[in-house]
Amino acid sequence: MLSDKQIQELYKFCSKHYVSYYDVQTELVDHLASSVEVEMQLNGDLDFDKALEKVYLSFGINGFSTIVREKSESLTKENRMRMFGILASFFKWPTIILTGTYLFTEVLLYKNYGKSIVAYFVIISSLLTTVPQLVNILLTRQKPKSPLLVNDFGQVYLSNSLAGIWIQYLGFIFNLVCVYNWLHVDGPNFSIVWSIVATILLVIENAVLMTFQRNQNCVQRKYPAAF
Amino acid sequence: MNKTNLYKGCLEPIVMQLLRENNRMYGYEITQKVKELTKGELQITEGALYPLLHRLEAGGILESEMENIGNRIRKYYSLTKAGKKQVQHNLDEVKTFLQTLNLIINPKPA
Repeated sequence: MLSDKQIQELYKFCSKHYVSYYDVQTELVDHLASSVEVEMQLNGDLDFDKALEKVYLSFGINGFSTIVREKSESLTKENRMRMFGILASFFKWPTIILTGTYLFTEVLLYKNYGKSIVAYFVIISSLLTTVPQLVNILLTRQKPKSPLLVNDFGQVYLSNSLAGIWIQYLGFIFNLVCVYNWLHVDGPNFSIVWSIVATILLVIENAVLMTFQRNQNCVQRKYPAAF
Repeated sequence: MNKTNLYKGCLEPIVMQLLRENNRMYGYEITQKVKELTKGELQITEGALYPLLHRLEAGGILESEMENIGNRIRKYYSLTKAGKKQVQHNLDEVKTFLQTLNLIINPKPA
């Protein structure tokens, strides 16, 4: 059995070879440790460093890079599927009733009270449905000791930083202001079309936040030792 | 001919079958088990095994759990419900492939 110091050496070795993510690092450290232990057992003369060198060679010419790249790609795919699943649920029974009611309310408000009211309705309802989710993400979040490889929105998002979700949410607010301007300020008279745009925007943002929350819950449940 | 290339397409059913028989396994254990079962004929490289395990996990075929084993953490993989359904289908496909290959290698005399 390798000593604690040697295990720490393996963590450093992984970081040196650009594996800085907790989940991949943990797995590779265990693999290296198991292999090194066997090598040292079979060949008594072999010291830790030489055994590690020998084991690392078995990873091939690309070393750990293929593993990290493919892990990232797998997670991107997993997240995309998760988000599309949530997005689709807004257009399936029974959630479609909510989506439809929202759009119908916008159209009714537009016909009865004009587009300014629709603009206020869009802004208030968007904030009412997204801000609590954002707050929930922040409240339930545990900060990991080292970065976790959690792909989100097609990019590697380091879960020890919240930059990804903030940038994404600011983008949503920007889009919302654009829609508000189209609905509120005098412009082309396409308010019903813009109501649909506002509904789609809101559905997408909710799906994004829900995906984010699920990813957060998932890594916190799967890797408790990382927090 | 490169043996590794011949086995490449069969890696997924091999790993899934091992997990079905052993309930849960970790990466290094899988490589050693394959080596042992095939008497060293087939050696799974780490560069092929881990991307496959991660892909299957992301696809909901495998699930994982971390366990503390002294001074390090070990990641164990096991089949999910969907994985258990898929494994038989994969093995059937391999069997069909082998039968087809046999038809070419050992053609029956006309």
